[in-house]
Amino acid sequence: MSQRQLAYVFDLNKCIGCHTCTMACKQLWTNRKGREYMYWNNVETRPGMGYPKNWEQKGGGFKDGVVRTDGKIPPMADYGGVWEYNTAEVLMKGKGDQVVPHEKPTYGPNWDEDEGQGQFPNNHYFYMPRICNHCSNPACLAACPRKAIYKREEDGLVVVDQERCRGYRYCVKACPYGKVYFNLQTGKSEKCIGCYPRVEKGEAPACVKQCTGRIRFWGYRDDKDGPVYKLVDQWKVALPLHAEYGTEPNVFYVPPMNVTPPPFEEDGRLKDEPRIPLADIEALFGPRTKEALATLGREMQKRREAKPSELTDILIGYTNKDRYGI
Amino acid sequence: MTNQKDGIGRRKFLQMSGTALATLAVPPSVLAFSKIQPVDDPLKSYPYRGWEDLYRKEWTWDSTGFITHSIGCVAGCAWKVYVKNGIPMRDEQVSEYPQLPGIPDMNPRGCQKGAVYCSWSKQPDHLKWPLRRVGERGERKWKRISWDEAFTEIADKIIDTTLKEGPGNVVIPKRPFSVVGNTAYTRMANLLGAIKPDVSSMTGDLYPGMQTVRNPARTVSTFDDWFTSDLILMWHKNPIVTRIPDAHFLTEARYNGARLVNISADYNPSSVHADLFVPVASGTDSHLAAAIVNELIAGKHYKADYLKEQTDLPFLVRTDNGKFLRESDFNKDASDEVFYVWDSKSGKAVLAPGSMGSKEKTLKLGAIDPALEGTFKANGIEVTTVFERLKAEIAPYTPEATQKTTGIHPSVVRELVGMIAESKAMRILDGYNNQKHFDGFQCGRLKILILTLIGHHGTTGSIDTTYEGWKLEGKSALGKVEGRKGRSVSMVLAQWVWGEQYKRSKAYYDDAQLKEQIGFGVDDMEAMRKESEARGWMPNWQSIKNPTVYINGGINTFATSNGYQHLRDNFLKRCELFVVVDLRMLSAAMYADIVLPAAENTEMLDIRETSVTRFIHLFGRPVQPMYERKTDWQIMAGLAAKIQERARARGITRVEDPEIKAWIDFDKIGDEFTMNGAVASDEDALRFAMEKSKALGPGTYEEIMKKGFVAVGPSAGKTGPVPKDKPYRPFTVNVTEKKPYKTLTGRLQFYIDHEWFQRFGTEVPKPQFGGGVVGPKKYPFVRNSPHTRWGIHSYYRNDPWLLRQQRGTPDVRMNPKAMAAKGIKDGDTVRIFNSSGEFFAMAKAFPALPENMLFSEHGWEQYMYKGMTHYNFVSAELINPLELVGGYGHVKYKSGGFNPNRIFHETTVDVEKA
Repeated sequence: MSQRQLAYVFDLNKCIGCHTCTMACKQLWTNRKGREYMYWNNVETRPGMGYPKNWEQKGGGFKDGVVRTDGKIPPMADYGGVWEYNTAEVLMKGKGDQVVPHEKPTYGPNWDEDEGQGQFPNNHYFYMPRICNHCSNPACLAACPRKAIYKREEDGLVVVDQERCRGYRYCVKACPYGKVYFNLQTGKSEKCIGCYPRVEKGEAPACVKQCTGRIRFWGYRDDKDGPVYKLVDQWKVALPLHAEYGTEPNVFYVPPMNVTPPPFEEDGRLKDEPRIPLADIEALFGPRTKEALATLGREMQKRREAKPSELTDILIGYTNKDRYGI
Repeated sequence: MTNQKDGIGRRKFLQMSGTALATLAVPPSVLAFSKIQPVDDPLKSYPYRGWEDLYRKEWTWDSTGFITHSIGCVAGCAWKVYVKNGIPMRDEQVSEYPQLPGIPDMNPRGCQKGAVYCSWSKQPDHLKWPLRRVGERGERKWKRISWDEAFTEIADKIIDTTLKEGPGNVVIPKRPFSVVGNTAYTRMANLLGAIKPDVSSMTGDLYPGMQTVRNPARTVSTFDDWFTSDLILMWHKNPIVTRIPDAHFLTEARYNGARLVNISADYNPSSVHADLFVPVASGTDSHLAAAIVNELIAGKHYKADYLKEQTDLPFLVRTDNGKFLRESDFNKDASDEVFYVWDSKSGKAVLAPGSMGSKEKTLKLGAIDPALEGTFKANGIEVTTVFERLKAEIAPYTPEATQKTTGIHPSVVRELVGMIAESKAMRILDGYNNQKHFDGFQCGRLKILILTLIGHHGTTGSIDTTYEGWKLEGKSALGKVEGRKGRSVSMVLAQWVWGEQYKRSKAYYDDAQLKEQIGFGVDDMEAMRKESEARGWMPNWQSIKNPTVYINGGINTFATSNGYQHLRDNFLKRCELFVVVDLRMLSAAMYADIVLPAAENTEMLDIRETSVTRFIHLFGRPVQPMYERKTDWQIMAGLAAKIQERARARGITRVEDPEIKAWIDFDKIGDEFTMNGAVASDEDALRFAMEKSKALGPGTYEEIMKKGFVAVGPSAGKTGPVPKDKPYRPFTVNVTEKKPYKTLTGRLQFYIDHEWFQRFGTEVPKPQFGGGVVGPKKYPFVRNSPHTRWGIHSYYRNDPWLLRQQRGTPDVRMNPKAMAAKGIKDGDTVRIFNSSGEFFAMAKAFPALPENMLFSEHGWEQYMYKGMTHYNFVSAELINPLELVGGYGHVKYKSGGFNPNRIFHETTVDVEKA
């Protein structure tokens, strides 16, 4: 194990689906060099197909402690096109009469944005940002026959050695989250690097520091004064995504409050039922979801009654220092 | 500018790493070989870390500079641009705003559009040099010309047009939301006596209904104030999408105990974060608001003391003619702007202090206890109160009665009213969507009435519109030309006439249906427009002038209107020289005769003064203008200099402009523009604007250059001071200091006895129509074009990175059931049409919409659509005569305040698989 582990908490009740994180990451790392189709950070609408398309069905992870070898490599179509446009021809040269992508779009990283499920006015959706989970037991690492993937001792970030990698793509198959990508230009696998060049200089990762919705908490997993420890271990409101995949993720999510806003009966009265079925959220975050949501609800009620709550203060995260740091 | 010296830092890091030292000890060939040697356990340790420099090298830069991206946006955010090899590479937020006590800070402000600015600005449609059309208008065939050629052609045309047709046939609308850039157009227009269209009315961004209640209507708290609320109604506003940098104040307010309510026709992303969603039928919000008002009054959930002092609700109204009881009713020589209340203590009508005509400039009632209710005799004249009138007229709008119209069950209305009644600090977030519906005028009055009844306006709450802008005297002074004000005009009316919108609306709407539903048809609208102009209520420049020379500063002229092609064709017939100044070839520019390249945000030296935060933001020119781009200020200054040069060469001097009691000094205009050189450079102009503004002043230029932002001083607030240690909230001094409001009655005014308000039975706030869809019923869908998170209007709409997060091409959103009924599948190309026109888009299944609605997000460029169609091909507008009135205290033409708004969300369409 690495000596220390950096970890993240994403509060889905604060996520506004603005994709500033995605664009921050994109402009810093993946707008070039064969990485264009990769979204090391993406935000998907849930319920939904996500990115890559239907990644939860791609397989990978561990079964009975053994890394699964039956995972799929998503076809390029499931990542969606990196559409290029004939802007210069149409606007500057008067050729053609429509600026169009070079191919008919059939899928993209945010294809089903704001769609979700259900029938109006009882439909529902929420946003879920995803990065590499920098797992404590990474399936990509376990699957790599070259041992070119490692956890950095000092911070536990999982990285692919771009010199040692030979592009076998076992990691792409093995990551059950679809967060390792194959670079067709370099012939190597690449993934989120946790912004280690920034981290080494004491700077938070771009997706954390640039998160306008202020949903991201970040720091060492064992820092008992830090928000990550408090939210994950002390208040137990932040849960890993698909813990059953067996990779021990280090990204934790505060699950979305599912009871509000209330849905409606046929006649238009408010219906005494959660808007999002609990089981749907449990399918993502496991059996501890209910308890986490109950804790959250209880603490929020305290604030409505003007009583103090340490938990809601942590989630508000008044300043950058309150939300992240190492 | 800062220089990075992290090359050394990186080396140090490597030296400190034991493994790195070990690898450095072996020759490179052996190092490469070592990579195929077994690694023990990469979970524990890994020997070959040297390659990690690969990514470290990608996070390097040569210099940084400050930038904000809000030339079309109201947010205002401090960013840094990272420059490598002279090229702006990447934007990242500064994230160093100070915190106010007990309030979450604003770090980091920004959104995904700002995050891709450097990338977007490298797109091939971003302009590099002046262009002249060589084909037909719209053919998009260009020839590069020099600035001198461009300026000469424009200058001569301006002079010729003025000499031939008289002053006022030059039109200069403007949009760039930067202080110096924006003011450049104002200054030029004033010097030329040009027409200055109200861009807010064109885009439908006015709050004319609310302007009758408070003045100015378009006023906001700083958005950190949202955190102080315990109940927030998001109503005609989808802040999670449209106010991205400030949306966290909503989610954080909720963690702080607030409840969020979203009142909207669709389950939009703000609904997702709400405690209550109220799915009101599109355009019927006035009925819902009326039901809420009714319940608040019936349940006596109003704060009588507050209403007596702060509103006109106790003011006396004659029962014989419905007019306010005025001082002039008893004495012909007395003021008709002084009014009465009924003093319960003395049992008689007494003059209310604080109105426009009153000598007492206070709301202090002293010993007077105004009656809110009752009917009285004042010197033989029977009078009642505004409150009585309101009660009587709002009484029919019960939750039960309005359900049929709004679709909202009475129990839900009462749930909401319960929240409102119990709230201690309520806030309404009111976007631009309301007034784009027919009944938005009255709905605006009703919404502010709700907040007022419970006594929260100007105390613990606020009704936040979109933004206002800080009071900066230096900005005004930079644009001001003594004695020459130019010609202000409602852009909706200008397009109604110049663009023949009248004919278009007449062809589209069913007049019989209109008359039945709203009481008048399109011909009536046209007649009332003419009457309004004849009576001097609305400026009539559109009726007596032409846009012969049209200099379009940063506006997507035809896109922000209805019926792109119709407007374009008719408008351009009247336009002999169409000049577009912009940073890119936007849709409007395709039709230009001359296109001038404005500086990119990264190349500007300017500031942005939006009031959603207390901070002024800097365009800090991280790089000098590239290619041949110039800032808006330099473009206007250059044009002014050229006009002067040409005038002198042609022997032309002063042209009198008696219509506006002004003149044009063609032979001096260049010197006048720069104040004889005092504001010739961008830096001089910016220093002038900042240093002459009380809320900024000397030293702030230096400060903003260091930090990228600077806080305004107390005097920046338009309706009261900006406190040092708390968020700004408007209209508080009216309550704390009893300062009269700038309305006729000096109060939050809910009764308008103007003759046209009487004619339409709208003296008090109540629905102006019976509800339902106003567009022709033969089309089953109501269209709407809500703002998108993926653009700021048409800005950023064609950025490939952002398009890849959408469908890559314009989409149209429909309820899946409605799609099934039409045989349409997700991803199909569909044709949306009505008698006004058609457009094509990709169908997107959207369960968040009711079955009768169709959304095409706002801001798509015309050139993105098949056959150069556009989503506004199908929309047609209405004019509400209440927005044409004038000559009544504060209810009069005001650019950015009061004039007809673009009402087009009533349009109905049909759809089929293409």
